[in-house]
Amino acid sequence: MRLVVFVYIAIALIALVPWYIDQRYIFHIATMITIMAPMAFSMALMLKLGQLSIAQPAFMGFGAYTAVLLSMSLGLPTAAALVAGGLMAAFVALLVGPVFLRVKGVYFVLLTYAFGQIVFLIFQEWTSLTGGMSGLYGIPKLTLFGFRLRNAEHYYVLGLVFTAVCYLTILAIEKSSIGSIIESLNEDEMLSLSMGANAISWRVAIFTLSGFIAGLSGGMYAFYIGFLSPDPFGFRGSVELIVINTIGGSGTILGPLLGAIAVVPLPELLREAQEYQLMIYGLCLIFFITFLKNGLVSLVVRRKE
Amino acid sequence: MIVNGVLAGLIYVIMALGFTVIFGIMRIVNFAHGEFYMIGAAAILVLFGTLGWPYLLALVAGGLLAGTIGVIAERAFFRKLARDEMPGMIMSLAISIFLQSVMLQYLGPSELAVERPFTGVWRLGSAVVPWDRTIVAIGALVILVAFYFFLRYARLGLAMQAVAQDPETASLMGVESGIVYSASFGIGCLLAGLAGGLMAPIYTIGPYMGELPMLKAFVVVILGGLGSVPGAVLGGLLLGLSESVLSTQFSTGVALIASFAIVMLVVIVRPTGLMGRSSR
Amino acid sequence: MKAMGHLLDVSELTKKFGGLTAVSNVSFGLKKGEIFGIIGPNGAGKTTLFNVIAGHYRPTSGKVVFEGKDITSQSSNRIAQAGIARTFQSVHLFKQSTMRENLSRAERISRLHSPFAMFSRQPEPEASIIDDVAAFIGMESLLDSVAGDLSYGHQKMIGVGMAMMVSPKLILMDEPAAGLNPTEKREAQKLVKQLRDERKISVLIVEHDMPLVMQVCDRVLVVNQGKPIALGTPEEIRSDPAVIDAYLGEDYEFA
Repeated sequence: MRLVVFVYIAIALIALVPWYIDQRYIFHIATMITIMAPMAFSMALMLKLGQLSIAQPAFMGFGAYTAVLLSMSLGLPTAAALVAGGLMAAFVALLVGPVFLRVKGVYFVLLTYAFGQIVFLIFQEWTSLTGGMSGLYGIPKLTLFGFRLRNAEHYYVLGLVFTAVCYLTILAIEKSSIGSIIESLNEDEMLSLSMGANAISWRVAIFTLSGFIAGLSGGMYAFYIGFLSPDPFGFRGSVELIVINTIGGSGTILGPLLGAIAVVPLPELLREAQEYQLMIYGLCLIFFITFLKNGLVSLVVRRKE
Repeated sequence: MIVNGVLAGLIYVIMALGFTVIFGIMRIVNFAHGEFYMIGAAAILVLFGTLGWPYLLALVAGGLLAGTIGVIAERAFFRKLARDEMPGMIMSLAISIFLQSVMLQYLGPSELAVERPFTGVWRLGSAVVPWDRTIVAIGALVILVAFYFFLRYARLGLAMQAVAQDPETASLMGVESGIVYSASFGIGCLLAGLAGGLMAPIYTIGPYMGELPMLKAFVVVILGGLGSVPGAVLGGLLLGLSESVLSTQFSTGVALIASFAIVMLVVIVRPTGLMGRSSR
Repeated sequence: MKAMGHLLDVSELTKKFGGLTAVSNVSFGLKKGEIFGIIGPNGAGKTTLFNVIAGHYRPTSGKVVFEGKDITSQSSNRIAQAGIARTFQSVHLFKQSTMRENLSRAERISRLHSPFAMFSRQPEPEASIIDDVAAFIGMESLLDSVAGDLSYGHQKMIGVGMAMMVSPKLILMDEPAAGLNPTEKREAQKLVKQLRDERKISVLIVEHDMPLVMQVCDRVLVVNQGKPIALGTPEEIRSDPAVIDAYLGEDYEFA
């Protein structure tokens, strides 16, 4: 137990690093971590159900495009647009969930893969709405409670708050009766059904939550970067999430957090050796699957076996 | 338009065959399949384009190279994961990323072109058919027929079928699963490599060239049924034809969207595809 | 056979799988407070019948009515919510958790069967309900043992305990005696009677083990090749020529 406390303290200290080094690109990496961590949480939520969903970047895209289009075309205040983006993604998840979640195992993965690809293609092809591959420029800055978030530092703080809220919420769910029910469904669905568990409704609920988080991340991403193209919402996005979740480990939500902190800075740190970046991703992934199947978090928390 | 569809379809069939063999026997979704396709294409680039080997030799060498690397990968990484679907998938993803990065190292990020070994056209009724695509189709047919005979008559082929249907019974009957797994993975990759080699002169060669063929293979295999060989053939031809029609009428983007929509429909309604058996 | 007053009413239940008819026109009524048995030779269709009633299969035709409500095509979780629990022939448990956790999970699942259930006023369970159930099945001392480490007989008992956490009015038991040694079988018989006598829970048993069924059940339905061939008290069926006929060639004691 003590080790976990140290890890939390370490994470808190790491979170303060950008103010000590105070360089633009450090804040940028830090902000990206706070955007990708909730995305990783979103995928981790589904992994808790025993399902690998590669539709998360699609939900991120729904959130991003909805938020941007609402604020730019309809003049909605950015904060409201951000939330609307999250709600839109959640709505889509709610819509497709009952159908998708009846499918299990490999087929579910392939289903979310196909879904993600279709959404990605729609983002690319519907140029009148989304600007296609050339993207949307001039996205306004986020204004929260009257305060206009201008630079990376502001978005970093927002990101920290967002990540913390997501983390604590999911942790609370994990430890609650809900978490216990989800675990039961995952371990023995037939037994759980025989005791009255409405498996589909729980799965859809979790799926919707994961979609909501992904949608919010997408909106934040769009407002932060100021430019939006379909690029991050394709299969590549899923690859990064899979890498984060594999290296960080599933089981408890601390895993994806560690994973995000470890993985997101890699492309930046390896900016010199760009060609090696992909290779290192691949090698790390292979290493972890082979030797450390339960990820970094397994070094910290002993799983309740 | 129809002819183009059939020609394209045949290559999809070969890609799908390899993919479905690997899934049928090892229950691994091979996300790296496109990268083995790329290895075959790269072999053509280096052996045929740069070193001047005869095309056919380079083609076969490329296929064998892809197959060998596949066997090595299987023994080193996948063996423990056979029939464990999720980690197998993620591992194949890792291999795919790794192979892409290696290619990135050697070829650089831009696309390269290889001189076409065959030029000219011929006529079929009102259609004008380029020779190079025809050779691709003939090659694909040859591979298909050879594969059919292999499955039907070769000991290894029969063993593979047995393991795909019921591994426990197969091992009781003396089939060594280890050898079958290696061989299946190797053959799957060999097929991908041959497909890549055949297509290399048609389009350009680059480190990310495997993504689209893998997508197509994936669609075909779902349509025809994961693990079903006749399904792969049927699905490949169907995809080739429908793509040809749709992209002529609308656009390639729409055709792709339609393909994926069909995939989703199939997975939801009839996951075993048109011709697959439901395993487990 | 009056439909009034029956807790569970099965009428003309038929289940076909493609060309195969597994269950054919089975009808019976289970009275409140009854211990009802369904027996039959191998392949008689008992398990299919069980699974249709439990909500795993939809019948081809026929009806299942519980407490006056039609539950014929409802899924297994809805049936559990209606007040019918079931046990499994093979052991279904959360093997890596302790017995206490298993029972606790059962309680939570039945209380929070869907996310919406969280929002309706639910009476909080009495803190001692787990101890109560554990004591009832005679396993209080094993509450903190890991379920997977216990003996097969004990694991099956936990299964009954978990079914009880659903607060059922009826428990369906799928071959409860399967895999039990003679001592454990006697315990199981005692438990079934206790369930009815002390907790007022009706029981429907599908079973292979004749002596157990004859000793514990109030009435028995005999099925063969999916068709009902006799319905009555154990004494009545013991001497029913159709039943004896069906079991000819099988090694059975009617004791």
